[in-house]
Amino acid sequence: MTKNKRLLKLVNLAVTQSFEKGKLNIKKVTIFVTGFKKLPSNQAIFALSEYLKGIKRVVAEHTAIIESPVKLSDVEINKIIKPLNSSFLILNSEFKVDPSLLGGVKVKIGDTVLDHSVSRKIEQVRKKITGNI
Amino acid sequence: MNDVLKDIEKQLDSLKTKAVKENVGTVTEVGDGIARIEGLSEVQASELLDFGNGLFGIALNLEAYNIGAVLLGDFTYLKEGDTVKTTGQILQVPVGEAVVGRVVNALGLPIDGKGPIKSTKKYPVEKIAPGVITRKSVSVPLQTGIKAIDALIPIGRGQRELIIGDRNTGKTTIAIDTIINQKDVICIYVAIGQKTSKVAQIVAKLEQTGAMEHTIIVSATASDPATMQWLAPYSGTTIGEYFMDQGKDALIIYDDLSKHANAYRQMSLLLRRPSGREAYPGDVFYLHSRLLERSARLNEDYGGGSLTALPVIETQAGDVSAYIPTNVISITDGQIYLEGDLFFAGVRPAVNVGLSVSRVGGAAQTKAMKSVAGRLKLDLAQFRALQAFAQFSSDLDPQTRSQIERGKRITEILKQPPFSPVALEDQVVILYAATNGYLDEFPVEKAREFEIQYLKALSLREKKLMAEIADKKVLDEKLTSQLEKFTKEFIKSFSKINK
Ligand SMILES: Nc1ncnc2c1ncn2[C@@H]1O[C@H](COP(=O)(O)OP(=O)(O)OP(=O)(O)O)[C@@H](O)[C@H]1O
Ligand SMILES: [Mg+2]
Repeated sequence: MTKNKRLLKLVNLAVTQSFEKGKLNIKKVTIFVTGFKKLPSNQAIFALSEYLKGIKRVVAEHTAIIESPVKLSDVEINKIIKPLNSSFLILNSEFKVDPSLLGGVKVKIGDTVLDHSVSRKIEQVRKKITGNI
Repeated sequence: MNDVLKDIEKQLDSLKTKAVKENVGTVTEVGDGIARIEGLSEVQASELLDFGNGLFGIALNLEAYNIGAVLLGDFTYLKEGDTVKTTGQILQVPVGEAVVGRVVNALGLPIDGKGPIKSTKKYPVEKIAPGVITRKSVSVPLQTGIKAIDALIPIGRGQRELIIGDRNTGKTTIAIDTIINQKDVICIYVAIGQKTSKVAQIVAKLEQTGAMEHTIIVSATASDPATMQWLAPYSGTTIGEYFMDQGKDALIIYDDLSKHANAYRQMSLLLRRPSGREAYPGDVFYLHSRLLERSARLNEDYGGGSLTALPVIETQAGDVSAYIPTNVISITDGQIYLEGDLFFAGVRPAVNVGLSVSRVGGAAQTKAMKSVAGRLKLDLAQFRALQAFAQFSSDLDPQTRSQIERGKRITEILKQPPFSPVALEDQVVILYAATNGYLDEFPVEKAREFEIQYLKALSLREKKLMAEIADKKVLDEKLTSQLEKFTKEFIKSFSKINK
């Protein structure tokens, strides 16, 4: 248990060091991965899977996933992303069409969601009327 | 119909829909009422989580990048990969007059089939206990209607008195009797990990005696998930706190905290928390102390309300030194100790008066009761000391013998059947008769008959005297001499038929 905890700390440190200003440093990744592979196999599996999770997490923190009911042009997407860079460091973006939003946009960055969709506003109206949380 | 529409219109006018920013996570594991979640980097301990589709949870284990949460409700449709949101709130339960008379679950939702609870007020289930400056020491009695307790282990409003004993020794009966005996006190009975049939019996009993009118039952039975059993006492306390804040007196019973600790242990193992003594998690002491700390008597500046707590603990073979019993003993203001041996010997309620204490309740005992209780304690203590060696010697000196005989009659008078609480004035006069030796000339088997006839005669012929004791709550010289005169008369007529 405690052994795993110490290893986990190490892995998380490796995760932070694998990035430079939000960008993945491939050289460092190779170094860390080779290092983890040298551990006894059960620890190596644990370390590598946690490391991969960590990398994915950090990448997600710099990726904006934009959803809207209709397809948006690159210009429109950039218009959405630009102001977000004041509080996030966005390096990649993905776009998804989600008709259930009805209108507006929804942006997900890491574990933060900015919901500006029509369906969400309708939901707020519903709550106001029924008084339910 | 038009009114409804207008109402909705008005509400919508004041509503501004807005874009929302929220913190989300992903479910990575579900099972046994517990979920593990990745993400939710901004979550706070005990925060309410929204799993969607009406399912909520409470965030408990906060680790670096993942958390453990307990699920409140039907989680059959929750699966890996589902999204969770923080709500910025702590779980709340409905409180207020609308809850009185109802049976609710750990979330405060009705389960008695009597329709929704029309309460507009909600309180968070976790609250900081009242501070020292808001509190006042105990000074008003909480009458249980049980002679042995009111006379020897008196409880004051705002006190925390533990009911402890093996299984089937009458713990629940004492709690229910106390509820039945209340008039101006709102009672909350929290059933934790009991059989559903037992809870149903309790509800039926309270309804039959009319006590349900001032009672709320919070039920998390053995068939409910451990997480609900863990939550129930906090919800019950929250309901009680509301009344305390309103300046009222409330009483809460936790039946029982042993099962509560077990539910918490089960939950903690599922959350993969490290366990300590008796496999309980390390913070099990804090689990109960932060619950019982919330019982208090507030001073006048804060409304003067109170919340009295009667936690119940079940022991194994009378062992009070096990982990959970010692913990709870150390955070209560005394304990009522019930003993299996006494119970089987027919001493019921099976209170061991030697091992039971009430550390603060004495200050709250009425003068009338005090005037008989002092003598009673002394007589019983001597009786206990002599009893042991009376078994060995056949020729005792007359004084010793009379002390033993007195003790036997007092023990008989302290017996009491379930669900028949005795009024204060009745308790005072019968204990007066017993401690002053008026029963000594009759056989021990006649003691119960004596009590019944004596109280009946008093209620018929000395209405004023009894009303005065009930009202002034004292037994002064004038009243004592009146009572003495009556008792002597009564003895004459009673001995004619019962010698
Ligand atoms: N004062 C009493 N006189 C006679 N019988 C009693 C008395 N008190 C309790 N009993 C009986 O003893 C039995 C057990 O009582 P009770 O359920 O209150 O005990 P308990 O300690 O709460 O039990 P459990 O461990 O099952 O919770 C019941 O059948 C009850 O009627
Ligand atoms: Mg019981």
